[in-house]
Amino acid sequence: MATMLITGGSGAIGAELVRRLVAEPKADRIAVLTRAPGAARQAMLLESWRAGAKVPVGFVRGSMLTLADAAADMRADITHVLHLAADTRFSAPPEELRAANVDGTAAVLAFAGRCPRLSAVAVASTVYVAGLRQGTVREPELEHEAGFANAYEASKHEMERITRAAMRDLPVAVYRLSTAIGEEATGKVTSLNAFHTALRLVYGGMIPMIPGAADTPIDVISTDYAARTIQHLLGERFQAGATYHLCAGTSAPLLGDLLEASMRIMRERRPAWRKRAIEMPVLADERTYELFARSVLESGDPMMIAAAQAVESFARQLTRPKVFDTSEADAVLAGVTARPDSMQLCEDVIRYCIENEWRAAA
Amino acid sequence: MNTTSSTNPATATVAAAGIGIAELAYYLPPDRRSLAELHRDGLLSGSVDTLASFGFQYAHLANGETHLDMAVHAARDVLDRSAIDPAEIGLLLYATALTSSATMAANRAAERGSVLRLDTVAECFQYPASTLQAELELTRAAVAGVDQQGCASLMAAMRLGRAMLVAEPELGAVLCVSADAFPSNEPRDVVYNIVSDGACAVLLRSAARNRILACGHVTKGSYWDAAALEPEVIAAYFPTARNLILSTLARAGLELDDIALVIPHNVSRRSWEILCGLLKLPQDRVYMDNIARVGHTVAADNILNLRDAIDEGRVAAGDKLLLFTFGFGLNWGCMVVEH
Repeated sequence: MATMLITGGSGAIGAELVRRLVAEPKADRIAVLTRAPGAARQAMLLESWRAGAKVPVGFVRGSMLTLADAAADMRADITHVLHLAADTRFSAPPEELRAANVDGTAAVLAFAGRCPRLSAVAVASTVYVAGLRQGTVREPELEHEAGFANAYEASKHEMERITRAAMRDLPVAVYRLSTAIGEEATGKVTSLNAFHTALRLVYGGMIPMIPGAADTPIDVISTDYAARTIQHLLGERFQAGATYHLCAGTSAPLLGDLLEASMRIMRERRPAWRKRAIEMPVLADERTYELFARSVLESGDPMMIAAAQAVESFARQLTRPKVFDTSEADAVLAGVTARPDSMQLCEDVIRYCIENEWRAAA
Repeated sequence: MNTTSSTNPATATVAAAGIGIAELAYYLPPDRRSLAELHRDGLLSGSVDTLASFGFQYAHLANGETHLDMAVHAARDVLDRSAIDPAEIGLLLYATALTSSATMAANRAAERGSVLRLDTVAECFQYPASTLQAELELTRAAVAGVDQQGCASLMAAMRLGRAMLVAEPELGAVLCVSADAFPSNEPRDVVYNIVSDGACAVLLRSAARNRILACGHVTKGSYWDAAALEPEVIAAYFPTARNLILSTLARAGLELDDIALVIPHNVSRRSWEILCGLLKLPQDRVYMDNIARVGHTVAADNILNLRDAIDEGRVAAGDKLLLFTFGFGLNWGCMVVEH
């Protein structure tokens, strides 16, 4: 039997994953690392996890950097480490992103290396370690010279480098996720990210243009899909040294379709919004978009600057269309879990956001 | 509201009528000041550097001249150029952007510490359009004012004038005049552009040149309080502008590549550089020379630019031209013309 240590368990994907893991008797104990076990969300999560749980679950107080001390008394029992914690703010200062995503991961891997019963370490990453590459991105690939759209991507790329280095000594697999936007069927959103922020700005009539082309893929997944694929890969098909793309891949919706669906849903769901006659943002080439963004900065208008900066954090990514190849993930997930209809997911999430006034669920 | 004209079968009717801009003229007051001078005189609220980077250098100020004085200048110029008998003009449309320009009291503002102040109800009935008709001796002309469309008012007047000529050919000719003088001592920068005073006049009639092929107009009334919604206004501007230009071209049966020259408003060179990027339109096909040397005349940008483009030999017979403007309200106006 196993003791599983999870970082990032209170995030949107982590919470769903823990809920699934405690429901199956494959571990003796699940410990979730948290910096603030008394916080309201953690308390609520713990209560929800324990309802019907078949496995004891609890919080361990500490950070990634203090993990060695925080989990010292359970180190001898740990068999699985699932590292989901990350700083996902695109616009955060690079040093903060590096501290969380690189130094934090290094500390988790170092701790894992001192667990005598360790059998598996799963590290969650992002498909956007591909940065500004274009075309097809394959799962084994990591190194490139294309640069990155933001400091978050750069920090995760560096994180993967140290993770790959650790594969020489540890049983480590990397699960690269694309943007998790909400739950299947309900569209429920528990954590807002750049996807929701951008659509909220479109809804508010604050986005005149978006860089990219109509056929630019926008790779999004549901939190459910991310959780159930990680659960299966870690619990049933763990393979040390593997890297998997857990994303929409070739079924990713296209930017033009996504914008048109968004405008249609906004018109349908909010009759009052129709009065504003807000136009769909124009798809702009990179040079035009950058000229507009520069003009906004020169204007000094704080509202326009805030809107432009929200788009700026991922703007360059939209001008570098790419498709994440999922061959290796598909090979091990075939027949186990179906990839959701990404366009339907987007529509459900947009409806949820409009009806909940762009607030995430507790 | 999004309206266009010249769809089939109306296209055939209008094309057959051959209504065009038979003559055009503008007037700018002689007081021309640089950005530095405007700043020195307390007539800028924003940064000189930012305005310069957006393409502005100078503005014209109507010191002592009223909007009506400028309107008379421009209208007389058109009448002289065309040599038309004023009695041939069946309709005078007086277009204004500023509410103050639709009154006779526009120049009182500075003295009274307000932008516009009328003292008596009787002043509400004193119309500059009527005064203009009398001044120009347009004895046969019916008179109407066109306003509440910001800097798109003149284009709206031209569209109405053309429609009237199609509907009532006996009107013979329509004179569209537009003039605006900014309230004195008010900052000249509005939403990152520099406002000049000025006037223009256009004679519409059955004409061999400057035939109007299609018109388009979009009003988005939810943005009526433009000053309070400035970021939203700027965000609305670009997609609406692009869409209106493309839809008006489509109604003329043309594509952007068919347009020899775009005759723009002068609401910043930067805005045109961005709009050109969105339209994939080479910037050298937009006549932007007057943005720096004149700034944005509320009343007259398109006609000012068309007049100068013609006089500078930038337009050849048969060239297809696209006139585009934008006004508070919000209003977007577009017109395709064959020179």
